[in-house]
Amino acid sequence: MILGITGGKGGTGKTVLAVNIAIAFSKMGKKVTYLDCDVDCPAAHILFGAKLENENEIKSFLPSINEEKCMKCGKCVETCQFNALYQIKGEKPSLVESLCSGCKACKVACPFGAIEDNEKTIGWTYKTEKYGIELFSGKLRPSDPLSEKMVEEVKERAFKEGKGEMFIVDTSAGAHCQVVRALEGCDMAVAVTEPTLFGIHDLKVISEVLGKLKIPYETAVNRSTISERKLENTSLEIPYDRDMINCYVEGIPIVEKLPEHGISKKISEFAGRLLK
Amino acid sequence: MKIVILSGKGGTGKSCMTSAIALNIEKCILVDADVDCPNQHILFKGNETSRKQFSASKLAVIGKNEPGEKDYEGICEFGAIKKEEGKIKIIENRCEGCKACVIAFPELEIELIPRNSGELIVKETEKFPLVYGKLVPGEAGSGKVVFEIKKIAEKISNEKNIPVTLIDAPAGIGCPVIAAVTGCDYVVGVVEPTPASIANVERALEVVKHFNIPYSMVMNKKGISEKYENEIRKKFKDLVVAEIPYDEEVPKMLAEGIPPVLGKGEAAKSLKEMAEKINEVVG
Repeated sequence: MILGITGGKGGTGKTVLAVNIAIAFSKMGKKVTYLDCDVDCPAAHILFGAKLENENEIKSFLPSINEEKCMKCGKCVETCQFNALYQIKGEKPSLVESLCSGCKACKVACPFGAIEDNEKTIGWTYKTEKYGIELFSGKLRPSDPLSEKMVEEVKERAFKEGKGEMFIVDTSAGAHCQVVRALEGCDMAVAVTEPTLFGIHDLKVISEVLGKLKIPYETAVNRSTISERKLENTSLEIPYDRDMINCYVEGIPIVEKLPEHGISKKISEFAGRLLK
Repeated sequence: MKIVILSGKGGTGKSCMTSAIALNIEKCILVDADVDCPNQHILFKGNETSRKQFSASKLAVIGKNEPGEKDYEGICEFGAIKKEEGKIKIIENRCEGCKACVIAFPELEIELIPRNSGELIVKETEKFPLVYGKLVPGEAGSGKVVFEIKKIAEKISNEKNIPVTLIDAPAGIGCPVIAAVTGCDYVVGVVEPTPASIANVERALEVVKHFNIPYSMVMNKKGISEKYENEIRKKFKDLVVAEIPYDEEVPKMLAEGIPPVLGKGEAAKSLKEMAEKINEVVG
C-alpha cells in the first residue's frame, strides 16, 4: 500500500504524524519505506533523528549552444515557454540557467543541430535507515525551481531501491504541482490539519486535489484542543500536548520514546485501522 | 520598499508576523504570495475591488490523432505522452506546455492552449489593500501567479503612492518563493526554536543570499526549547530583532481569524514591538 500524508497548510504536523505512523506500522511487523517528498524543506530525517546518507547528485538538461553551428535564427528563443533563452538581435542566444525546465524543446526546435547537451545540478537524493525503516529524502538546490522534478527523483529511487510493504509518502505544504507529483499513485491519503480557520480553508483546497486524483482520504486534526471548533468526519484527533512538542524538538518520535503515552496509543490505533 | 516575510518551513508564524507588521505600518499594501493556500484574506476582511482569471501555463492538445511509427513517448521529458491502442494520449497532469511535441510531431497538429491557473484578487480592507491569488488546486505555475499579483500590487502602490509592500511568502524554497523574493529590498526570516525550522530557514536564506538581499530574523514561539533558542541566537546574532514568546492566545486567535497582534497577552505585546523594530530597520 502507498499512503500519502498531506494537508495543504504548513506546520500542521504532517511529518510528525507520518513519522509516528511509520514507526507504528513497523512495530506491527510491517516493512516500511518512507519517502520525504518535501524536497524544498525536508525534515523527516530530523524527526527520525537520522543523518542523510548515500547521496546521489541529480542533474537536469541545460542547452549548450554550439557557436559554429548556430545560425542565430532565434527558433530556440521563440520556442522556449519558460523564458530561459533570450537573444539580442543578430547575436547568439543566451541562457538564464535558473529558468530552464530541462524540457529540451529548444533542442527539438533547432534546425541546425546547434543545441548540445549540458547539465546543471538541481539537487540530491538520499537513502538512510532508522528504527528499521528505510528513509528516502531529497534536497532541492536552493534557488533552483525544479522541485517537481526532485520529487519524481525521490519517488523513482524509493520505488526502485525500497523494499517496503508499506510506502509512506510525506508531501510538502501547499496544493500545487509538487504536491500533486508526490500524491500521484497513492492508494489512500491522510490529510492533516488543525482547527484554525487557516487549517480548515487549506484542508478544503487539498481535498479538491485528492478528489481530482481520486485518492480516498482520512482527516487527522492536530492540536485539536486549541479551539472549541469541531471538524466533521475526522478519524484522528491529537490534542495540544507538551510531551509531543518535547519529542519533536528532541528528534525522537513520541511512539518510540513514550509508547505508553495517550497520543502514542491513539496514533498506533489509527495506524492499525489504516492497515485494514 | 518591498519586504518579504519567509521561513522555509511551514507553520512557523509567517502570516502572524506579516499581519502584525501590516497593522503597524502607516501606509502599506499586503501581498499574500501563498497562492495555493492563501490565508491573509481570512484575517483581513474587505470589499473586493477586482478579480480576474489568469493563465500561467499551457496544455498540449492534439488536433489530428493519427500517429505514425515515431518514438512519441520519448520526446516528452515530463512523461506526459502515452501511446495507447494506436492513439496518442496527453496526460494533462504532467504536461508542462513546453512545446517540444508541437515541433517534433507536426502530423499530430498539436496546439498549446492556455490553462486556467486561477484568480487574481484585490480587496480593500480597513487599513490597506490586499492582493492575493487563488491557484486552481493542483495546478502548476504558482511562481507565475506570484509574479502576476506582485505586478498588480506595484501598479496600485504607484497609483496610490503607497511606500511599503509587504509580501507573505509561501512555505518552501521553490518557484513561488523565488518569485516572491525576486526584486525585493528586504527580507524578514521567521524561525522557531526547533531543529526542523532552523535547518529550513537556512535553506530559504540561501535563496535570499543568492539575490543579495539584506535580512533580519524574528524568533517565534520562544519557550519551546532553550537549547534551540540559544542556537538561533548564536547562529544569527544581532540579526535577531525580536523574540516572540509562545503564548496560547496566539493559536486561539488564529483559530478565530483575528490577527494575534490585537491580543492582550505577552505575545501580542512582543509582536507590536517586533513590528515597530521592523519599521525602524526598513524605515
